Amino acid sequence: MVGIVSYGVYLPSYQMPAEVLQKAWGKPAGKGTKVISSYDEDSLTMAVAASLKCLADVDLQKVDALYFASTTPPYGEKMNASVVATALDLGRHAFTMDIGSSLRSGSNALKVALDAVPSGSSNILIVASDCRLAEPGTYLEPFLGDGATALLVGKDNTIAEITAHHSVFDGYPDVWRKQDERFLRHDDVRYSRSEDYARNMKEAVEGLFVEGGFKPGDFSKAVLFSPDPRSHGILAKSLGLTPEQVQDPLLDRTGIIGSGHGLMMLSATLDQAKPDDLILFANYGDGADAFALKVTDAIENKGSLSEIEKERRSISSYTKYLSFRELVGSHEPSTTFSAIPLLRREEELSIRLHGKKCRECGTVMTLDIQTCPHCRTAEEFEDIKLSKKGKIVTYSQEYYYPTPEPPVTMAVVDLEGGGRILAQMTDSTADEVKVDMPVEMTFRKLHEGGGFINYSWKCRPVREGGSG
Amino acid sequence: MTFKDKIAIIGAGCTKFGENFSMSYGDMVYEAAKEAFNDAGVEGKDIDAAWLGTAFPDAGVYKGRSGMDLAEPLGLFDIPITRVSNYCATGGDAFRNGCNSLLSGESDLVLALGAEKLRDRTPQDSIVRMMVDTGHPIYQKGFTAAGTFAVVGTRYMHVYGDITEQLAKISVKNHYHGSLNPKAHYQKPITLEKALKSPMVAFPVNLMGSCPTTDGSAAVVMTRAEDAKKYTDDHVLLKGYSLSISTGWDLPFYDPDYDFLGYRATQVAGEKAYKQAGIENPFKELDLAEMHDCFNVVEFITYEDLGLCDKGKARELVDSEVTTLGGELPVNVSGGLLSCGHPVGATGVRMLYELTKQLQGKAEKRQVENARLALAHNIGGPGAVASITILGAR
Repeated sequence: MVGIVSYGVYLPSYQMPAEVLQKAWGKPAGKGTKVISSYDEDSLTMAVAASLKCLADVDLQKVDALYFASTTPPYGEKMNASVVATALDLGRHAFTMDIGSSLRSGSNALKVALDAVPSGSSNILIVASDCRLAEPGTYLEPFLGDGATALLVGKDNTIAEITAHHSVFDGYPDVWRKQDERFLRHDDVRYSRSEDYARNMKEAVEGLFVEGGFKPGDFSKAVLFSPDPRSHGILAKSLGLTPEQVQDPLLDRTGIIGSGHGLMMLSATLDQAKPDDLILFANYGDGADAFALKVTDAIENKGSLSEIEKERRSISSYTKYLSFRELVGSHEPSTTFSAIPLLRREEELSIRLHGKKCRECGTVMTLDIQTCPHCRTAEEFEDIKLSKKGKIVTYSQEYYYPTPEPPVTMAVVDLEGGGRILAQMTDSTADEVKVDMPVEMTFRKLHEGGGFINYSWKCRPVREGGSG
Repeated sequence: MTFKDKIAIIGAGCTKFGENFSMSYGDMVYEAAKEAFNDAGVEGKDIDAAWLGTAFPDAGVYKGRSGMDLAEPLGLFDIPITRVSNYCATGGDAFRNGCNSLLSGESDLVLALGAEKLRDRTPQDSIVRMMVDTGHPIYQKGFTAAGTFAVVGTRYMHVYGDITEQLAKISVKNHYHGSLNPKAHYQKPITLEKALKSPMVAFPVNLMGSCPTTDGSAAVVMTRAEDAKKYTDDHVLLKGYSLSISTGWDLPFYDPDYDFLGYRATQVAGEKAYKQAGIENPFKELDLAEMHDCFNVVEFITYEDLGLCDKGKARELVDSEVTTLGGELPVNVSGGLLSCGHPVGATGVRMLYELTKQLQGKAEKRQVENARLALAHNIGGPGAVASITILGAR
């Protein structure tokens, strides 16, 4: 039976506590905190981070499809999933696809995977990721967080089988954004709570009950996406669910992280699930998707909650946040050179993170190089996969490199198992950087030279929550 | 083959180094060459081959891409002129090529001239922005020129302990020297406190530890030593010269063998040049040196790379002030790159101008007493290429 094989959640290391917004605007801005992506992250890089967690113990050759779900893909035309797949070093045979437009796109992807596995795909990675933007100072701003959730869907070694499904659609907008707009719009809040959210979710879940012959009491946990805590409680009650059955929507811990939010809530539930638990999962956006999942004996609670709970740095000011989103300028514009032929030639090194190991002396080079600098043997390299962990050999801290977050630490990193790499450091403060400090590689935006996004690997201090 | 005493510098010229807003590339070439010609007692038409050193023509109006930008301002037509580009060793390499031409017999009277026009753009647009805007889109993105050298300072401090104060002392020394040089970009001494508190550029290199963005040109006229007396009785002699490329542009940061504690290019070039010049104890035998202090940490590390002290001991050399004017081996009495600035292609030739004046006893307020043997050193392209020239008094 088709189900979830593994899962991974990535949440950025920055947060915006409600007080920062409140101070900026002089009006109440909700409570708790919301997770926000750094200036060098987007939905694509966060998708890579979540996927790496999901695939930590998976043979990449067995992943034969990747669906990238997002309402905020960095590219409107040009596939985003294929960049994620390259960074993940997936085999070229993998089928890649973007699924978009709807807040529900994460569970849309799950449904498509559910249908595709029986017809030939063995393991499909779905990853839902978003950096949704509200106009500064408007109603939605305090509610929106950034993050990504990845699920590997397959039929072997599943930790939770999907036993039933029901969907409904709704053609009217609740939250929307036209093609040429950057900020989200929303409808009358009280109206959308009852007529959009409650009606669609109830219809999908009740449809699922009929489909699977379930009663509310059958479920050990109900994962109900929610736009706000109040609507969440009202919906649960109307479905006949008790408060103990209901998964915390995590709104005041992360904000709504977009298309990956429902899947993140599901991951948090799987973190505490036991064999034979029956889980209700309902996701919302332009209608609703509802699923029933049966937890198997293979469940290994992976610790997504630790990602949710990990210590975050509060953004120093609201102005800094605006500069991260390029809503205010923070440095002189630059016109960096880049070229597709060059990037394509060096994909193995710079994106797939492979090295060239000298067959003569064993030196591992991470550059496009023809002759081994150690033994000077030419053209005798074998391709090896580099580790994403290492430690700092030396560094500089650049106060004149254009960035919203100076200084840029440039670190020379010796990777575990060989290979030395030079990389910008991110998610760190200048004063914590030290020689010999352990770091891990993280896929980020470097610049937009050539008019397209130049992605590559940066490094960051190793913190709880693992690779990303 | 030994080159010792076979080449003579018979004339040297140098423009004011600074923000030469009123001078074009051609104006500066003309001025430096004219001073060198007058000094040598020759005219442009006497020159039978020339080398032009310009590292970054693209930083300005594309002047210095080829020998024609030397020919045009000087009217030096119908002779071979080659443009040399070898990062910060460009000027030294232009000189080396000129010497080789004389030694081969291709030519009899040679001009080596370095020129760089950087300040038609803002400082950020020229050298700093160069690494932001050009180069490989991934490999060194995030670095500025300062950072490519700063990484050696960081590693050095990890291994040998803090040198923040010693780096600042080098800034103080070279700004003091610059105050004695009317052609320097900066001619104002600074206090140790100012040097220490100056804003960071690329940790551990701060603003007072970084050379400014500067325009300038310098020139020397050379001939074979046996012909020198035809022109002047005040020439200086080439004792040794070498150029070494010991790593690549991106390679030092990706080479698992590199220890980030010094520059092999300097070490190799230094050994070769010492051997030619017959120098066994450089600290004792040299009377002064011009070193490539593009950033103070580079001068610091060069003390060790050139064997002036043992590995890990440069701090003692700085603290004892022996490299200050009046000390046993004054370094960068011109003010160095920190005070003169660094019009890249001109710098190496500017150093030869300085050594020539010193060895002739014509360096006025910054004259090193009894200067008989002097060394010029450049290093560039993240420590990849080094040029050494040793000159001696007649």
